[in-house]
Amino acid sequence: MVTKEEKRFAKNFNINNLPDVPNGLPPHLQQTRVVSNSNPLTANASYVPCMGDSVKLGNFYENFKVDVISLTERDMEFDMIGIDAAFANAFRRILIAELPTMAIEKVLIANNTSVIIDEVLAHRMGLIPIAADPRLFEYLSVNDEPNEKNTIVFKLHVKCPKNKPREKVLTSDLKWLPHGSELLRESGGSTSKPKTYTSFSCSQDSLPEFANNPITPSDLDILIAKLAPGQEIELEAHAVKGIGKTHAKWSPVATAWYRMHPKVCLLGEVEDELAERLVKICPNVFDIEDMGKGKKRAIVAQPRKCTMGKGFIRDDDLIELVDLGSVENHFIFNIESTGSLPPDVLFTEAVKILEAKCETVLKEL
Amino acid sequence: MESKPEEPVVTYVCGDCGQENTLKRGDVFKCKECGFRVLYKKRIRRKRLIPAN
Repeated sequence: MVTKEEKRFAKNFNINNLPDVPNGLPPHLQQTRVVSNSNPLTANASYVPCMGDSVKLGNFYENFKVDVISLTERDMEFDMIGIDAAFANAFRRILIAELPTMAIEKVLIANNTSVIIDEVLAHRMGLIPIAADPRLFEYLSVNDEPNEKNTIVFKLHVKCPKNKPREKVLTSDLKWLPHGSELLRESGGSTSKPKTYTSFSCSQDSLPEFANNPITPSDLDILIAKLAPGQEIELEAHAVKGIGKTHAKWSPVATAWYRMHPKVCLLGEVEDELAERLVKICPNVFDIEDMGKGKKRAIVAQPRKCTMGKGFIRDDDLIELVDLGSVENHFIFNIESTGSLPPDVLFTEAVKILEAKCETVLKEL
Repeated sequence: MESKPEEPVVTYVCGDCGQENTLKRGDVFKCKECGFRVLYKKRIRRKRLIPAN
Protein backbone atom coordinates (compact mmCIF):
# COMPACT_ATOMS: atom_id res chain seq x y z
CA MET A 1 0.00 0.00 0.00
CA VAL A 2 1.09 3.59 -0.58
CA THR A 3 2.00 5.68 2.46
CA LYS A 4 1.28 9.36 3.01
CA GLU A 5 4.96 10.26 2.65
CA GLU A 6 5.14 8.46 -0.65
CA LYS A 7 2.08 10.35 -1.86
CA ARG A 8 3.58 13.65 -0.81
CA PHE A 9 6.86 12.79 -2.47
CA ALA A 10 5.00 11.90 -5.63
CA LYS A 11 3.07 15.17 -5.68
CA ASN A 12 6.23 17.27 -5.36
CA PHE A 13 8.25 15.20 -7.76
CA ASN A 14 9.40 16.93 -10.88
CA ILE A 15 11.40 14.97 -13.39
CA ASN A 16 13.43 18.06 -14.31
CA ASN A 17 14.93 18.22 -10.82
CA LEU A 18 16.80 14.93 -11.24
CA PRO A 19 20.57 15.46 -11.58
CA ASP A 20 21.01 13.89 -15.01
CA VAL A 21 18.16 15.57 -16.89
CA PRO A 22 19.47 18.22 -19.28
CA ASN A 23 18.21 21.75 -18.73
CA GLY A 24 18.55 24.84 -20.82
CA LEU A 25 17.46 23.13 -24.00
CA PRO A 26 15.36 24.98 -26.54
CA PRO A 27 11.64 24.50 -25.80
CA HIS A 28 10.96 22.22 -28.73
CA LEU A 29 13.42 19.69 -27.32
CA GLN A 30 12.60 20.17 -23.65
CA GLN A 31 8.93 19.43 -23.97
CA THR A 32 7.88 15.88 -24.74
CA ARG A 33 4.19 16.37 -25.28
CA VAL A 34 2.63 15.34 -28.57
CA VAL A 35 -0.75 16.79 -29.47
CA SER A 36 -3.13 15.58 -32.15
CA ASN A 37 -5.81 17.49 -34.00
CA SER A 38 -8.90 15.41 -33.85
CA ASN A 39 -9.57 15.31 -37.58
CA PRO A 40 -12.24 12.70 -38.25
CA LEU A 41 -10.72 11.76 -41.59
CA THR A 42 -7.44 10.78 -39.98
CA ALA A 43 -8.44 10.19 -36.38
CA ASN A 44 -7.48 6.72 -35.35
CA ALA A 45 -9.13 5.15 -32.36
CA SER A 46 -5.84 4.03 -30.89
CA TYR A 47 -3.89 7.26 -31.33
CA VAL A 48 -3.41 8.98 -28.00
CA PRO A 49 -1.42 12.07 -27.08
CA CYS A 50 1.57 11.12 -24.97
CA MET A 51 1.51 12.45 -21.48
CA GLY A 52 5.06 13.74 -21.44
CA ASP A 53 6.59 15.31 -18.41
CA SER A 54 3.40 16.95 -17.31
CA VAL A 55 2.30 13.73 -15.59
CA LYS A 56 2.69 13.86 -11.87
CA LEU A 57 2.58 10.72 -9.83
CA GLY A 58 0.46 12.38 -7.21
CA ASN A 59 -2.20 13.25 -9.73
CA PHE A 60 -2.24 9.65 -10.87
CA TYR A 61 -3.31 8.47 -7.43
CA GLU A 62 -6.21 10.87 -7.46
CA ASN A 63 -7.33 10.54 -11.06
CA PHE A 64 -6.95 6.84 -11.72
CA LYS A 65 -10.13 4.80 -11.71
CA VAL A 66 -11.14 1.27 -12.63
CA ASP A 67 -14.79 0.40 -13.40
CA VAL A 68 -15.70 -3.22 -13.90
CA ILE A 69 -18.56 -3.35 -16.39
CA SER A 70 -19.08 -7.11 -16.50
CA LEU A 71 -17.34 -10.08 -14.96
CA THR A 72 -18.04 -13.76 -15.56
CA GLU A 73 -15.91 -16.86 -15.09
CA ARG A 74 -14.43 -16.48 -18.53
CA ASP A 75 -14.92 -12.88 -19.68
CA MET A 76 -14.36 -9.49 -18.19
CA GLU A 77 -14.99 -6.00 -19.50
CA PHE A 78 -13.67 -3.11 -17.48
CA ASP A 79 -12.67 0.52 -17.90
CA MET A 80 -9.35 2.00 -16.88
CA ILE A 81 -9.47 5.77 -16.67
CA GLY A 82 -6.51 8.04 -16.13
CA ILE A 83 -3.76 5.69 -17.19
CA ASP A 84 -1.25 6.13 -19.96
CA ALA A 85 -1.48 4.11 -23.17
CA ALA A 86 1.91 2.58 -22.45
CA PHE A 87 0.56 0.88 -19.34
CA ALA A 88 -2.62 -0.31 -20.98
CA ASN A 89 -0.57 -1.81 -23.79
CA ALA A 90 1.92 -3.31 -21.35
CA PHE A 91 -0.89 -5.08 -19.52
CA ARG A 92 -2.33 -6.33 -22.78
CA ARG A 93 1.02 -7.71 -23.91
CA ILE A 94 1.71 -9.35 -20.57
CA LEU A 95 -1.74 -10.94 -20.52
CA ILE A 96 -1.15 -12.46 -23.93
CA ALA A 97 2.49 -13.49 -23.75
CA GLU A 98 3.93 -13.52 -20.27
CA LEU A 99 1.38 -15.01 -17.92
CA PRO A 100 2.16 -18.67 -17.27
CA THR A 101 -0.29 -21.50 -17.86
CA MET A 102 -0.19 -25.28 -17.97
CA ALA A 103 -0.30 -26.88 -21.40
CA ILE A 104 0.57 -30.28 -22.81
CA GLU A 105 4.17 -30.38 -23.97
CA LYS A 106 5.13 -34.05 -24.33
CA VAL A 107 2.91 -36.64 -25.92
CA LEU A 108 3.95 -40.30 -25.54
CA ILE A 109 2.11 -42.26 -28.16
CA ALA A 110 1.85 -46.00 -27.52
CA ASN A 111 -0.56 -46.63 -30.37
CA ASN A 112 -2.25 -44.46 -32.96
CA THR A 113 -4.05 -46.14 -35.83
CA SER A 114 -6.32 -43.17 -36.55
CA VAL A 115 -6.12 -41.01 -39.66
CA ILE A 116 -4.68 -38.15 -37.61
CA ILE A 117 -0.92 -38.56 -37.74
CA ASP A 118 1.10 -38.51 -34.51
CA GLU A 119 2.51 -35.03 -34.97
CA VAL A 120 -0.82 -33.42 -35.80
CA LEU A 121 -2.45 -35.21 -32.88
CA ALA A 122 0.28 -34.02 -30.51
CA HIS A 123 -0.05 -30.47 -31.85
CA ARG A 124 -3.79 -30.52 -31.16
CA MET A 125 -3.27 -31.87 -27.66
CA GLY A 126 -0.88 -29.00 -26.96
CA LEU A 127 -3.58 -26.48 -27.77
CA ILE A 128 -6.11 -27.94 -25.33
CA PRO A 129 -6.60 -25.46 -22.46
CA ILE A 130 -6.12 -27.03 -19.05
CA ALA A 131 -7.99 -25.83 -15.98
CA ALA A 132 -5.11 -25.90 -13.52
CA ASP A 133 -3.85 -22.93 -11.54
CA PRO A 134 -0.29 -22.41 -12.83
CA ARG A 135 0.73 -20.73 -9.57
CA LEU A 136 0.60 -24.13 -7.89
CA PHE A 137 3.26 -25.55 -10.21
CA GLU A 138 6.90 -24.90 -10.92
CA TYR A 139 8.64 -24.62 -14.24
CA LEU A 140 10.23 -27.78 -15.61
CA SER A 141 13.66 -27.10 -17.01
CA VAL A 142 15.74 -29.44 -19.15
CA ASN A 143 17.75 -30.74 -16.21
CA ASP A 144 14.79 -31.38 -13.96
CA GLU A 145 13.04 -34.66 -13.38
CA PRO A 146 9.33 -34.54 -14.20
CA ASN A 147 7.65 -34.83 -10.81
CA GLU A 148 4.40 -33.95 -9.11
CA LYS A 149 5.46 -30.31 -8.67
CA ASN A 150 6.00 -29.52 -12.33
CA THR A 151 4.02 -31.98 -14.46
CA ILE A 152 0.40 -32.93 -14.97
CA VAL A 153 -0.11 -36.32 -16.60
CA PHE A 154 -3.15 -37.20 -18.71
CA LYS A 155 -4.04 -40.47 -20.37
CA LEU A 156 -6.06 -40.93 -23.51
CA HIS A 157 -7.11 -44.43 -24.55
CA VAL A 158 -10.00 -44.70 -26.99
CA LYS A 159 -10.80 -47.50 -29.35
CA CYS A 160 -13.66 -47.45 -31.78
CA PRO A 161 -15.40 -50.86 -31.61
CA LYS A 162 -15.68 -52.84 -34.82
CA ASN A 163 -19.42 -52.80 -35.39
CA LYS A 164 -20.16 -49.33 -34.11
CA PRO A 165 -20.34 -46.12 -36.14
CA ARG A 166 -17.50 -43.62 -36.24
CA GLU A 167 -16.55 -42.40 -32.81
CA LYS A 168 -15.50 -38.93 -31.67
CA VAL A 169 -12.58 -38.45 -29.32
CA LEU A 170 -13.35 -35.48 -27.07
CA THR A 171 -11.40 -33.77 -24.31
CA SER A 172 -13.72 -35.53 -21.86
CA ASP A 173 -11.85 -38.74 -22.74
CA LEU A 174 -8.66 -37.34 -21.21
CA LYS A 175 -8.13 -38.96 -17.82
CA TRP A 176 -6.01 -37.31 -15.18
CA LEU A 177 -3.34 -39.54 -13.65
CA PRO A 178 -2.56 -38.07 -10.23
CA HIS A 179 0.06 -40.73 -9.55
CA GLY A 180 2.14 -39.87 -12.57
CA SER A 181 3.04 -41.68 -15.73
CA GLU A 182 1.88 -45.26 -16.17
CA LEU A 183 3.81 -46.06 -19.32
CA LEU A 184 6.95 -48.05 -18.67
CA ARG A 185 10.21 -47.02 -20.18
CA GLU A 186 11.88 -49.68 -22.22
CA SER A 187 15.03 -50.28 -20.23
CA GLY A 188 17.96 -52.43 -21.34
CA GLY A 189 18.57 -54.53 -18.24
CA SER A 190 15.80 -56.81 -17.04
CA THR A 191 17.05 -56.73 -13.47
CA SER A 192 16.47 -53.03 -12.81
CA LYS A 193 13.09 -51.88 -11.51
CA PRO A 194 10.88 -50.67 -14.38
CA LYS A 195 10.83 -46.88 -14.61
CA THR A 196 8.08 -44.72 -15.97
CA TYR A 197 8.44 -41.40 -17.72
CA THR A 198 7.89 -39.35 -14.54
CA SER A 199 9.11 -39.61 -10.95
CA PHE A 200 6.20 -38.70 -8.73
CA SER A 201 7.15 -38.99 -5.08
CA CYS A 202 3.60 -38.46 -3.89
CA SER A 203 0.21 -38.45 -5.55
CA GLN A 204 -1.13 -35.07 -6.70
CA ASP A 205 -4.42 -36.26 -5.25
CA SER A 206 -3.07 -35.71 -1.77
CA LEU A 207 -2.54 -31.98 -2.32
CA PRO A 208 -5.37 -29.96 -0.78
CA GLU A 209 -6.19 -28.06 -3.99
CA PHE A 210 -6.74 -31.21 -6.01
CA ALA A 211 -8.14 -33.46 -3.32
CA ASN A 212 -11.73 -33.22 -4.46
CA ASN A 213 -11.48 -31.46 -7.79
CA PRO A 214 -9.56 -33.44 -10.37
CA ILE A 215 -7.56 -31.60 -13.01
CA THR A 216 -9.40 -31.57 -16.33
CA PRO A 217 -9.25 -29.61 -19.54
CA SER A 218 -11.14 -26.30 -19.35
CA ASP A 219 -13.72 -27.46 -21.88
CA LEU A 220 -14.80 -31.08 -22.09
CA ASP A 221 -16.40 -30.94 -25.51
CA ILE A 222 -13.40 -30.12 -27.66
CA LEU A 223 -13.03 -32.58 -30.53
CA ILE A 224 -9.54 -34.09 -30.67
CA ALA A 225 -9.93 -36.77 -33.35
CA LYS A 226 -12.44 -39.06 -35.01
CA LEU A 227 -12.01 -42.84 -35.12
CA ALA A 228 -13.40 -45.28 -37.64
CA PRO A 229 -14.24 -48.82 -36.46
CA GLY A 230 -11.09 -50.68 -35.50
CA GLN A 231 -8.96 -47.57 -34.99
CA GLU A 232 -7.36 -46.84 -31.66
CA ILE A 233 -5.49 -44.06 -29.89
CA GLU A 234 -3.47 -44.78 -26.80
CA LEU A 235 -1.27 -42.03 -25.47
CA GLU A 236 -0.05 -40.22 -22.42
CA ALA A 237 0.24 -36.44 -22.37
CA HIS A 238 2.44 -34.48 -19.97
CA ALA A 239 1.52 -30.86 -19.29
CA VAL A 240 4.06 -28.37 -18.01
CA LYS A 241 4.17 -24.68 -17.16
CA GLY A 242 5.14 -22.13 -19.78
CA ILE A 243 4.40 -18.66 -21.13
CA GLY A 244 2.78 -17.47 -24.34
CA LYS A 245 6.06 -16.03 -25.59
CA THR A 246 7.46 -19.53 -26.07
CA HIS A 247 4.39 -20.98 -27.71
CA ALA A 248 0.88 -19.62 -28.11
CA LYS A 249 -0.59 -22.72 -26.44
CA TRP A 250 0.59 -21.26 -23.13
CA SER A 251 -1.38 -18.04 -23.52
CA PRO A 252 -4.03 -17.87 -20.76
CA VAL A 253 -6.32 -15.57 -22.72
CA ALA A 254 -8.36 -16.34 -25.81
CA THR A 255 -7.31 -12.82 -26.34
CA ALA A 256 -7.13 -9.60 -24.39
CA TRP A 257 -7.69 -6.26 -26.07
CA TYR A 258 -8.53 -2.67 -25.36
CA ARG A 259 -10.06 0.21 -27.21
CA MET A 260 -10.22 3.88 -26.40
CA HIS A 261 -13.52 5.27 -25.26
CA PRO A 262 -14.88 7.17 -28.27
CA LYS A 263 -15.43 10.91 -28.10
CA VAL A 264 -18.33 11.86 -30.32
CA CYS A 265 -19.18 15.54 -30.54
CA LEU A 266 -21.74 17.34 -32.60
CA LEU A 267 -20.19 20.57 -33.79
CA GLY A 268 -23.54 22.21 -34.42
CA GLU A 269 -27.24 21.60 -34.29
CA VAL A 270 -28.18 18.57 -36.35
CA GLU A 271 -31.86 19.01 -37.02
CA ASP A 272 -34.81 17.37 -38.65
CA GLU A 273 -33.85 15.68 -41.89
CA LEU A 274 -30.12 15.74 -41.14
CA ALA A 275 -30.83 14.18 -37.78
CA GLU A 276 -32.78 11.39 -39.42
CA ARG A 277 -29.88 10.72 -41.78
CA LEU A 278 -27.39 10.69 -38.94
CA VAL A 279 -29.41 8.26 -36.86
CA LYS A 280 -29.85 6.05 -39.91
CA ILE A 281 -26.07 5.81 -40.33
CA CYS A 282 -25.25 5.19 -36.66
CA PRO A 283 -28.39 4.11 -34.81
CA ASN A 284 -26.41 2.78 -31.83
CA VAL A 285 -24.75 6.08 -30.99
CA PHE A 286 -27.20 8.81 -31.88
CA ASP A 287 -30.78 9.38 -30.90
CA ILE A 288 -33.53 11.72 -31.96
CA GLU A 289 -34.75 14.21 -29.41
CA ASP A 290 -38.09 15.83 -29.88
CA MET A 291 -37.96 19.55 -29.31
CA GLY A 292 -41.64 20.14 -29.67
CA LYS A 293 -43.41 22.04 -32.48
CA GLY A 294 -42.42 19.24 -34.88
CA LYS A 295 -38.70 20.01 -34.68
CA LYS A 296 -36.22 17.25 -33.94
CA ARG A 297 -32.56 17.15 -33.34
CA ALA A 298 -29.91 14.51 -32.89
CA ILE A 299 -28.08 13.94 -29.62
CA VAL A 300 -25.18 11.72 -28.74
CA ALA A 301 -26.90 9.06 -26.68
CA GLN A 302 -24.36 6.30 -26.25
CA PRO A 303 -20.83 7.24 -27.38
CA ARG A 304 -19.51 4.05 -25.81
CA LYS A 305 -21.22 1.98 -28.48
CA CYS A 306 -19.46 3.81 -31.30
CA THR A 307 -17.40 1.45 -33.40
CA MET A 308 -15.46 4.32 -35.03
CA GLY A 309 -17.01 3.36 -38.35
CA LYS A 310 -17.02 6.96 -39.59
CA GLY A 311 -19.95 6.24 -41.88
CA PHE A 312 -20.97 9.87 -41.68
CA ILE A 313 -17.99 11.08 -43.75
CA ARG A 314 -19.72 9.86 -46.86
CA ASP A 315 -22.41 12.45 -46.27
CA ASP A 316 -21.37 15.96 -47.33
CA ASP A 317 -23.45 17.76 -44.71
CA LEU A 318 -22.77 15.50 -41.75
CA ILE A 319 -19.00 15.41 -42.16
CA GLU A 320 -18.80 19.02 -40.98
CA LEU A 321 -21.08 18.53 -38.03
CA VAL A 322 -19.67 15.39 -36.39
CA ASP A 323 -16.34 15.21 -34.64
CA LEU A 324 -14.97 11.76 -33.85
CA GLY A 325 -12.04 11.05 -31.62
CA SER A 326 -10.99 9.21 -28.50
CA VAL A 327 -11.22 10.21 -24.90
CA GLU A 328 -7.74 10.63 -23.58
CA ASN A 329 -6.54 7.90 -21.24
CA HIS A 330 -9.86 6.08 -21.03
CA PHE A 331 -9.39 2.45 -22.00
CA ILE A 332 -12.10 -0.15 -22.36
CA PHE A 333 -10.44 -3.47 -21.65
CA ASN A 334 -11.70 -6.91 -22.54
CA ILE A 335 -10.15 -10.08 -21.22
CA GLU A 336 -11.30 -13.52 -22.36
CA SER A 337 -9.80 -16.28 -20.27
CA THR A 338 -9.35 -19.80 -21.70
CA GLY A 339 -10.19 -21.29 -18.31
CA SER A 340 -7.02 -21.70 -16.28
CA LEU A 341 -7.72 -18.63 -14.13
CA PRO A 342 -10.65 -16.20 -13.92
CA PRO A 343 -10.04 -12.98 -15.87
CA ASP A 344 -9.81 -10.70 -12.84
CA VAL A 345 -7.11 -12.92 -11.33
CA LEU A 346 -5.32 -12.90 -14.69
CA PHE A 347 -5.22 -9.12 -14.66
CA THR A 348 -3.89 -8.87 -11.11
CA GLU A 349 -1.20 -11.39 -12.02
CA ALA A 350 -0.30 -9.26 -15.04
CA VAL A 351 0.07 -6.23 -12.77
CA LYS A 352 2.36 -8.24 -10.50
CA ILE A 353 4.52 -9.22 -13.44
CA LEU A 354 4.84 -5.60 -14.56
CA GLU A 355 5.77 -4.69 -10.99
CA ALA A 356 8.45 -7.35 -10.98
CA LYS A 357 9.85 -6.04 -14.25
CA CYS A 358 10.07 -2.53 -12.81
CA GLU A 359 11.84 -3.92 -9.74
CA THR A 360 14.37 -5.60 -11.99
CA VAL A 361 15.05 -2.37 -13.86
CA LEU A 362 15.40 -0.35 -10.65
CA LYS A 363 17.81 -2.87 -9.21
CA GLU A 364 20.02 -2.66 -12.26
CA LEU A 365 20.12 1.13 -12.29
CA MET B 1 17.75 -64.21 -28.60
CA GLU B 2 14.41 -65.61 -27.65
CA SER B 3 12.25 -62.75 -28.78
CA LYS B 4 12.96 -63.35 -32.48
CA PRO B 5 12.56 -67.07 -33.26
CA GLU B 6 13.73 -68.67 -36.50
CA GLU B 7 10.15 -68.62 -37.85
CA PRO B 8 8.83 -65.17 -37.04
CA VAL B 9 5.10 -65.08 -36.33
CA VAL B 10 3.55 -61.79 -37.47
CA THR B 11 -0.01 -60.53 -37.37
CA TYR B 12 -1.16 -58.68 -40.45
CA VAL B 13 -4.38 -56.72 -40.95
CA CYS B 14 -6.52 -57.46 -43.97
CA GLY B 15 -7.05 -54.48 -46.26
CA ASP B 16 -10.67 -55.38 -46.92
CA CYS B 17 -12.33 -56.77 -43.82
CA GLY B 18 -9.84 -55.63 -41.19
CA GLN B 19 -9.42 -59.12 -39.75
CA GLU B 20 -6.13 -59.82 -38.02
CA ASN B 21 -4.26 -62.75 -39.54
CA THR B 22 -1.35 -64.48 -37.86
CA LEU B 23 0.89 -65.84 -40.58
CA LYS B 24 4.06 -67.92 -40.40
CA ARG B 25 6.83 -68.18 -42.94
CA GLY B 26 5.56 -70.14 -45.91
CA ASP B 27 1.86 -69.37 -45.40
CA VAL B 28 -0.08 -68.11 -48.40
CA PHE B 29 -0.22 -64.36 -48.21
CA LYS B 30 -3.93 -63.72 -48.13
CA CYS B 31 -6.63 -63.02 -45.57
CA LYS B 32 -7.92 -66.18 -43.89
CA GLU B 33 -11.46 -64.87 -43.74
CA CYS B 34 -12.21 -63.09 -47.02
CA GLY B 35 -9.31 -64.08 -49.24
CA PHE B 36 -8.19 -60.54 -49.94
CA ARG B 37 -4.56 -60.53 -51.03
CA VAL B 38 -3.49 -57.15 -49.63
CA LEU B 39 -2.41 -57.37 -46.01
CA TYR B 40 -1.03 -54.48 -43.99
CA LYS B 41 1.51 -54.70 -41.24
CA LYS B 42 0.42 -53.44 -37.85
CA ARG B 43 1.81 -50.27 -36.37
CA ILE B 44 4.89 -50.85 -34.21
CA ARG B 45 4.22 -51.04 -30.46
CA ARG B 46 7.00 -48.64 -29.55
CA LYS B 47 6.33 -45.49 -27.57
CA ARG B 48 7.03 -42.32 -29.51
CA LEU B 49 7.73 -39.09 -27.67
CA ILE B 50 6.43 -36.15 -29.66
CA PRO B 51 6.68 -32.50 -28.59
CA ALA B 52 3.28 -30.82 -28.79
CA ASN B 53 4.42 -27.83 -30.84
